[in-house]
Amino acid sequence: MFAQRSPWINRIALLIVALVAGLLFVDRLGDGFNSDLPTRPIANLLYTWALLLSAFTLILGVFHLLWTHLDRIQQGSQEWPLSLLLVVAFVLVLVAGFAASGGVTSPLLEWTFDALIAPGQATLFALTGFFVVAAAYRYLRLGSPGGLWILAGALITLLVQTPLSQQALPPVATQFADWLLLVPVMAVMRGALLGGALAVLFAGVRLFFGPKG
Amino acid sequence: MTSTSTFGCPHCGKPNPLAATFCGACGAYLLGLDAAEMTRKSNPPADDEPVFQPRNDAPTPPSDPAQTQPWLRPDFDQPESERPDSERPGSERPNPPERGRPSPDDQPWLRADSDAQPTDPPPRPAPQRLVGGLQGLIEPIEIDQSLFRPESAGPTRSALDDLPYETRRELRQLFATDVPILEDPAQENPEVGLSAGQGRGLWRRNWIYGLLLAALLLGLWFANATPDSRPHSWPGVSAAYSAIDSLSADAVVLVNWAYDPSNAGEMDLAALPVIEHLLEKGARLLVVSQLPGGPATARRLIAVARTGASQAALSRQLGDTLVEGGYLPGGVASLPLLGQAPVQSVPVDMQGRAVGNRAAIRALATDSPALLLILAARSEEVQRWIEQVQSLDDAPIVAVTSAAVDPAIRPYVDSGQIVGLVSGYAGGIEYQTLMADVLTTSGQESQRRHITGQNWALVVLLLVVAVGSLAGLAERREP
Repeated sequence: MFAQRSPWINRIALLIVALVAGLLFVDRLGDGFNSDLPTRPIANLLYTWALLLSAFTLILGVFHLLWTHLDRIQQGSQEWPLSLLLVVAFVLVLVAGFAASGGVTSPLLEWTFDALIAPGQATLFALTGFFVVAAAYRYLRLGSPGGLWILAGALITLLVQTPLSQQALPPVATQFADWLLLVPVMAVMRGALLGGALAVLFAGVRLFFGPKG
Repeated sequence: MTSTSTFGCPHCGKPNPLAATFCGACGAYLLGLDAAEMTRKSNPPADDEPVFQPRNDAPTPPSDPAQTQPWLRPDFDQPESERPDSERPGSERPNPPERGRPSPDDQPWLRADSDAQPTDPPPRPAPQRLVGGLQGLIEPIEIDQSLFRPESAGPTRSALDDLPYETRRELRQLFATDVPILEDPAQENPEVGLSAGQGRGLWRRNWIYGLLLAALLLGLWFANATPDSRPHSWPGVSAAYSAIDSLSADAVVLVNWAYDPSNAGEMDLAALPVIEHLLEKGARLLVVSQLPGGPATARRLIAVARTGASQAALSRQLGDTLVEGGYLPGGVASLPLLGQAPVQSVPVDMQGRAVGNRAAIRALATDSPALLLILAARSEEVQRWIEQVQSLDDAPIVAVTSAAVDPAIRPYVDSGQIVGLVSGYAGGIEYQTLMADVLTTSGQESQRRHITGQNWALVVLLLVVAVGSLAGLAERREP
């Protein structure tokens, strides 16, 4: 980390990170004990800075995107018409937002959302159904490695969740599917959540106290 | 036969084209291998077959993969100053590998003679990172023991090291195996002369496509869901209903709208009855979203809920009870402020009016919200709010999620951090039943359409699974 920079800059940067993390940690610790510590206003100020900084990064990202695609258009790179389309769409939406009196809730932008953005996003997500069908064909097989267990779990969940089949199944099948979700699946998910949290904790400890930090 | 066009990967055994740079199954670096030798090892050629010879005009492969892929170096994480002099840029390595061949030190499984030494597994380099392995898929994940014992620099051993080398190789092949399907027999056997779309028995794609299309058309043609059919809902819906039903009038609810039109097809079905219930109770809503398309999606669904609300609820809603906080940037970094000081986090609404002056949520200046409502299509959104918002304001959480998110969120329901969970359209229908509303004719028709659609989706999936399994079984019988 910071291997190419001066050791003093590394240490100052790490010191700032450690101070901010320590302050936020103390603030959250005080909140856990229901005591208002004097760190609260500073913590809120830091959170506000994070909010402003992230908003600024959005603007920076927009400028970078525009710069990249304008450069592609100027250079005549491959598929430059798509870049031109992006820039034109960006300018149109931006002008519509600034020119309309209602801002982001103006009828023109509402129409853009209803007629273009929403159907486009929904269409792309609808392709998931085809991926599910393709995945079911390829992997929910008796002969594939571990396929029997995956197939059994998928079938019991599908049959219990679907009205058509649930009416024909005995109640014990529904209870078994509920048990699967509430006991083994939950145990696995808890393990994953706890494992992920411990990994983050150890990564933080290593960052601050590790021999290479 | 075209057997010389591929050779087996020395790592996982998967056949790869001779010109492949990486293995298509396990990602091992193959460029520069002695392809002719590997081909002979995996597929002994017939006497009259030409043996692969690398082209002279092909681009010269790098002499060492670590030059183009520095992450392959075991000391990748070390600063320059801590590396040996021979590994610093610009210095000569003491024994540079042969040109065009990856370094066996970096990728020991690439040794051509590795299969010939089953009892002498290649040495494994000591892990230099916090965790090792390729996402734990090919080999078990390893925790770097030097984190706990910095002095011990010796190599660590995993349980796999105790297995015979052939067994370890079989395990790698097992995890790298891709079920071969729908291979065009005309490509494998040109003499058969079949065109794409035709083939032997269950490989006939047109049959499969036709069956799928027929099932879909039948589903559309016979919309025969019985009026009393209901999907099975997972536990947690009644608890969510009770939590909202116990809200007092004018209670402030902080709403995280964490889905956009891409997931609205499913999420709207689950969220609509919950929003209708909140409007009936006269709750005051502060709606924020961390997705750019979230605020507009929220505005549309709340408008739909208002059209279905009773006159009494609408008269209560004439007041300024809905505050659109809009888009909240910053991801997880902005959430603690929302938990500690919501008005400071959302200074103005979508119309540019100051939120702090709004009577609807003035209570938030001194008190926590009465409820946190999370409408999320991803489990991470719910987890973030539990960790960063609820831990600060101690408000109860009701989550409305897609069905796919349900298993990942359910541990929080079991621990009591989430008081109620409505997942998928099944949860939405169950919630609507609890509200004891008399559905309008259009509402009943909509619900019947969804149930019919799910019924036929099940039929299609069962058909696909059956065809896939039969194809797999038939494939295993092929000589």
